[in-house]
Order: sequence, then structure tokens, then C-alpha cells
Amino acid sequence: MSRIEELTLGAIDEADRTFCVSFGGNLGNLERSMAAVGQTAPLHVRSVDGDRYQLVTGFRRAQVLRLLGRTQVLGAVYSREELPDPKAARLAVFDNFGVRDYNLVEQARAVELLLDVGEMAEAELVNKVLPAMGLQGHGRVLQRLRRLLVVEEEFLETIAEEGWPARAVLPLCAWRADARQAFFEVVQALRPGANKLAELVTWIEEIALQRDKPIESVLVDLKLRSRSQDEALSPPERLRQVREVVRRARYPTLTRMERRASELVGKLQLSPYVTVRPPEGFEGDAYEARFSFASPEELGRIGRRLVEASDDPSAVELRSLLTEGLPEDEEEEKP
Amino acid sequence: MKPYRPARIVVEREARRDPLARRVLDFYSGVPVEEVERAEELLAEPPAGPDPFGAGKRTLLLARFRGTFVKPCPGTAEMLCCHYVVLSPIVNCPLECTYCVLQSYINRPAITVHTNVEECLAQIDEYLAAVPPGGLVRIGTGELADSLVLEEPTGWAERLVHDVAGRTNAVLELKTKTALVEPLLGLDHGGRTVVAWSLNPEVIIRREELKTVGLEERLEAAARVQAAGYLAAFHFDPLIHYPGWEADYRDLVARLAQAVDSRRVAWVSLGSLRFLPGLKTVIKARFPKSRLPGGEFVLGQDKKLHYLAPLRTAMYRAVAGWLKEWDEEILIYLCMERDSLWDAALGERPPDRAAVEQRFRRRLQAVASFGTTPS
Ligand code: SF4
Repeated sequence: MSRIEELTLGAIDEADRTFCVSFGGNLGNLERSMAAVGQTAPLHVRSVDGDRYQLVTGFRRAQVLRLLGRTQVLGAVYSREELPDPKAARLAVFDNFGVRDYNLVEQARAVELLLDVGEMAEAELVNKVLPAMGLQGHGRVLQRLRRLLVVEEEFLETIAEEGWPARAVLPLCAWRADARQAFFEVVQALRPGANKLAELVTWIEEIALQRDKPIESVLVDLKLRSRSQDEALSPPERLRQVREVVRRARYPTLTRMERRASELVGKLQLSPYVTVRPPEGFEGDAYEARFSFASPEELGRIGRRLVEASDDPSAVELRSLLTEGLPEDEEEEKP
Repeated sequence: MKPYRPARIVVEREARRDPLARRVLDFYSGVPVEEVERAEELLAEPPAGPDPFGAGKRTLLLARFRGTFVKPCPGTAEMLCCHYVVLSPIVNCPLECTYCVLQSYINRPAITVHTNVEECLAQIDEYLAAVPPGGLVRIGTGELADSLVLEEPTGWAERLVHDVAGRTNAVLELKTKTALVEPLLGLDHGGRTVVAWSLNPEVIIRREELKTVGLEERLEAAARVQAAGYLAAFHFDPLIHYPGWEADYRDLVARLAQAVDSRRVAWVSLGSLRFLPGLKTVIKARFPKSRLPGGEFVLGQDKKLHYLAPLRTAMYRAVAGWLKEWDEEILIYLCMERDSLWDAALGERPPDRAAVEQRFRRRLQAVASFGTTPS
């Protein structure tokens, strides 16, 4: 059983990070709330040599209390026998569950702590803890999460700061360090949201497979570093450009077909109130035409132009695009 | 090909009495055996580690199947259906094709061999009794496992070959990527069993169809079953799009033409690689050397990823063309493909399912041994 005691903050060894899961993140909210209402829950500590304490939970709170200039803190004090290492590790991880969401790096640290000190079996981690953290309960996720901790510190800080999720980041753990570093420079400059980051990671991996080249060469081939730092463009434009370049490389035929379809629709010279779209991924047998009109005359004009367009060779080519694709002379990407 | 040997066998108490279970236990004597009340108990202990699906293949589960053995193939509304019926005597497979769809579906960490053979045969009886006169059902066991890879320990194919031998409204198709045809050769099959191989160029077999046998061995095995009076069939499925596909598939058809007698080929199907989007993550994780996830896929109406339609058309048209050069009479069909691609690739298509069945029936009548027991 623990005893709740008032402790001197200086007697707590904050440098001992054995049970620390916290990583990065903004302390602003916590600081504001603690400044307003003070410490509402005790830190969990183990007594060491009588008058020193090892921190088990509450690393962020201890930091904030120090920032607020407090010298006395409330602690739940255990002896080592009362709170042996495995129990302490579990307490350190689960104490924060339900209070705040861990960022991905913290999830990785929590997992590491549960395995190494908490003596938790892999199966329990996979089947219970990962799903409780909102991750897929799969051994592969566990493996990659553990590898995350060997990723460059600077990258980990950005991951925590941006709140990038597992699906976007964990695949990077399987990349070679130099590829990851090169990619990191790109995303550091672009700061994409989680979905766009996940998309870029997936596409780049798949271009490497398609071209049978290492990822780092793909990054060089696509000039992503210079594109991501192009001073002539605004940050959103840079991201848009990089995304477009990568998508075009990932889907060379599809993007050429999209371009051709839009050229052909242009050649039909329909009313500006008419839009024509191919089926998603050209996977279907019909284009979709939508139009809007404000008067019967306008409707008549749109209708007449649509009828005329049906005889246009562009309409025929649009149809054959769905099954035949581009004519052979269109197939190669122009430099 | 290294024969499959499980690391452990789990047997349901009830199934243990079944002759098929006893046969498997005898075959794998020396392998540790555990008894469970119900197969579901296995779900409670999924293997840990980064590849639970792969690890699950090392467990062989002997269990009774309490569902429907006989299920119509899940063709979709937009696609021309070929009245195929899927039978599931064995679920999950010791082979390791990188693209195997079972990786998306199977949650039981084991290869399950169902032991209630008589029940299965009774269900086939019932299903076929309801087929309208003149109808023809193709029954296949190759959807949830390779049809022959576990034939020696289980004898499932043999039971089915005998069962179908005397029927008039069904043919059995055994689909494999092995050369394990020995147990079939002496059977009285009544001309009602078709032994089929899934074919791909050697480079794809080596990279994407792990633990299977090479092309030459598959073709030699096909020639052997033809010599034993069976009809053979071939599935160019999945067709894989990659730089150089054209030359490799042309060469594949040429080698096929050299190896087997086209007049004793029941049918050839063409199907391009397709899978649920989630499988891509699995392939990347389980088979980092696989190039398949780099394909130019789009989401189809069936919610699966497919190569872009023009890429599919080009592959179907080319392979069908070479097959027709080999033998104009060969029955070629597209698997799970929409009408417009049939038209674009083959220049024609049967209008409905009845017409599809009729084509199969005609083809089977045209090839010599249909409906008769070869001498
Ligand atoms: S042979 Fe069929 S069932 Fe077996 S692994 Fe390959 S695709 Fe899957």
C-alpha cells in the first residue's frame, strides 16, 4: 500500500527516466490547468535510500510543477517491495490511459517498458494493449513500434509534435536509415497532414518496387528534396507539387489517361456549365456528365451541343480510353 | 518441393473418430498432437510474433465442418458468372503465394482439414439434385487451399474423384500449383475430373509463388494426368503485369503447347491480379521482395484493386490470341471480369449464365472422354 505524503520536489530524481513514457508534446494546457487548480492527483514514487524518490508516474506534472516554482508536491510513496519493477512499469503505462492520448513515440516507449520491465508477454501486448492504444493488434505492429525507437531523435520529435499516426510512420521503420533521413528532410519542409504523409510513404515505397530501385534513389530521381524547398512556391503549393510528382510516378498510365481524358473533354467544346468525368480509376463503362442551366434556352443550347459532340472523334476516343487506354503514340511520357 | 510437415496437430475430440483424421494422424506420426473440444479454442491463442498467419500454417487442425461445404462462387452482379461451386474440404494452404487472398480472410491460425467426408458428399448430392435438367455444375476445391498439396495425408481428392465419377451434371476441378498427381493416376475418374494448373512465367513463380513447383514440373504433371485419361485445364490467373510480361507469357503459352495435348484441355481461364486493398499491406510485410504492390492498381466496382482496365485488356487479348494460335477450339473465359472487357479482349462473350454453362458442356462433349470411363 502506498502512503500519500507531501514531498520536496527536489528529493525526486527526475533524471531517472526508467519509467518515463512521456515524449515531446506541449505542456501548455497542463501548465494552465495546474496553475489554476494546483496538483489534483499525486505523483507515484518509490522511496530510495529513505529520503530520495524515484519517479514512476507524473513526469510531465513534475516538470510543470517545477516550472510553476512549486517546491512541495503530493506523492503516493511506495517501497520497492510494495511496487516491484514489473508492477511499477505497468502503473507507469496505464496511469495515463484514459487521461490523455499517447503520441506514437510514447506508444512505442510504453510498449518497450511493458516488455522489458513490465514482463508482459507479447501476446498480451498484441491482443490487449495495442488495441487499447487504438493500434492494430498485430505482431507486425508491435515489431515496428519497437523499431521506431531507434529512429533518429530529430525525426521522433517531429512525429510527436505533428501527432503523425502509426499508419503513416511505422512503414518508415522498415526503410534504410539514409532513405529515412532523406525523406525526413522532405517532410520536415512540407509538414503534410497524416493522410498526405501516409499517401507519400506508400507511393514512394511502391515506386521503388515498380522500378526495382532503392527508396533513396527514387527520392533522388524525383528531385523531392529540391522540390520541397522550392522558394518560388508557397508551402501548400510545394506540398501540392511534390504530391503531384510522386502520384504521376506511382501511376504513370493512369495520370496520362486522366490528362488525355481532360484534353478530349476540352475538345468537345461543351458549355462551361457541363462537366464530364470518367469513372473512378477508369473502372467502369460510362462517363458521368452533369450540367446546370438557368433557363429553357440554356438547356436547349446545352442539349444541342451535347448531341453535336456525340459525333466528335474525341467522344469516340473517350469511349475507347476505358478499355483500350491511350493510343500507342501517346503511351510514353513526354520528357 | 519440400513436403509439408506440421509442427503440431490439433484435433477436435469429435473429429478424432473420423477415418480421415486417423489417416492424417498416422501419416504424421511423431508430430505432437493436442486435443481440443472445439476448433474455436484455437482462436483464443493466436500466435505471437510479426507473422501470425505464416506461423499458423505450421499447425494442422483436424475438425468437423459444421457449415455448408458447397458454396456458389461469389461472382459479382457486374460480372459474367460461370456457375462454379466452391467446396472447402481443406481451408488454408501450406504453399506461400505472395498474392494469396487467404491472407485477408483467414483468422484461424491453422491449416484446417475437415474430417466429415460423408457429410460433404451428402451435401454435394443434395446440391446436384436441385440442378435443373441439362445444367452443369463445376465443383472446385482449389479456392481455399491447393487441391493436391495435402492429398497424400488426407485422400480428400480421391474421395471426390470417386464421388463425381458417376454423375452426369457435374465435373470436379482440382486446381494445383504442385506436381503431386501420383495419387490420382490409378483412379477410376469416369472422365468427370479435370486437373487444373495455375500458370505463370518462371520468373513470377520464383518470386511470387513460393514453395510451389516450377513451370516445367507443372507442365510435366499435366501431361501425366492427360496420359491417365483426365482432362487438364489451365488458369492464367493471376496474370501479372510487369516489364517484359508479353515475351514471358508468349513463351509460357509456347511451352504449354509443347507439353500437353490441346484436345484434352477442358478450359483455360484468364484472370488478372486482384485483391482487397488491405492485402497490399500484408504482402509488403510478409514478402518484402514481392514486386506486386508496385502494380498500377485502381479500385474496381467490386471493391478490389485491379490493374488499370487497358492493361488488363492488353494482357487478356495477347494471351487469348496466343492460345487461339495454338488451338482455335480451346475454351477461354475471363474470371471475374466485366462485360466490356470480355468484348474488348475476346471480341465476344456469352450473353448469360446459361450460355456459359452450355459452352462448358459443349467443350466437355467435344473432348474425347467426357461421360465415359477411359480405358
Ligand atoms: S496455392 Fe492458392 S491457396 Fe495456396 S498459397 Fe497459393 S494462392 Fe493461396
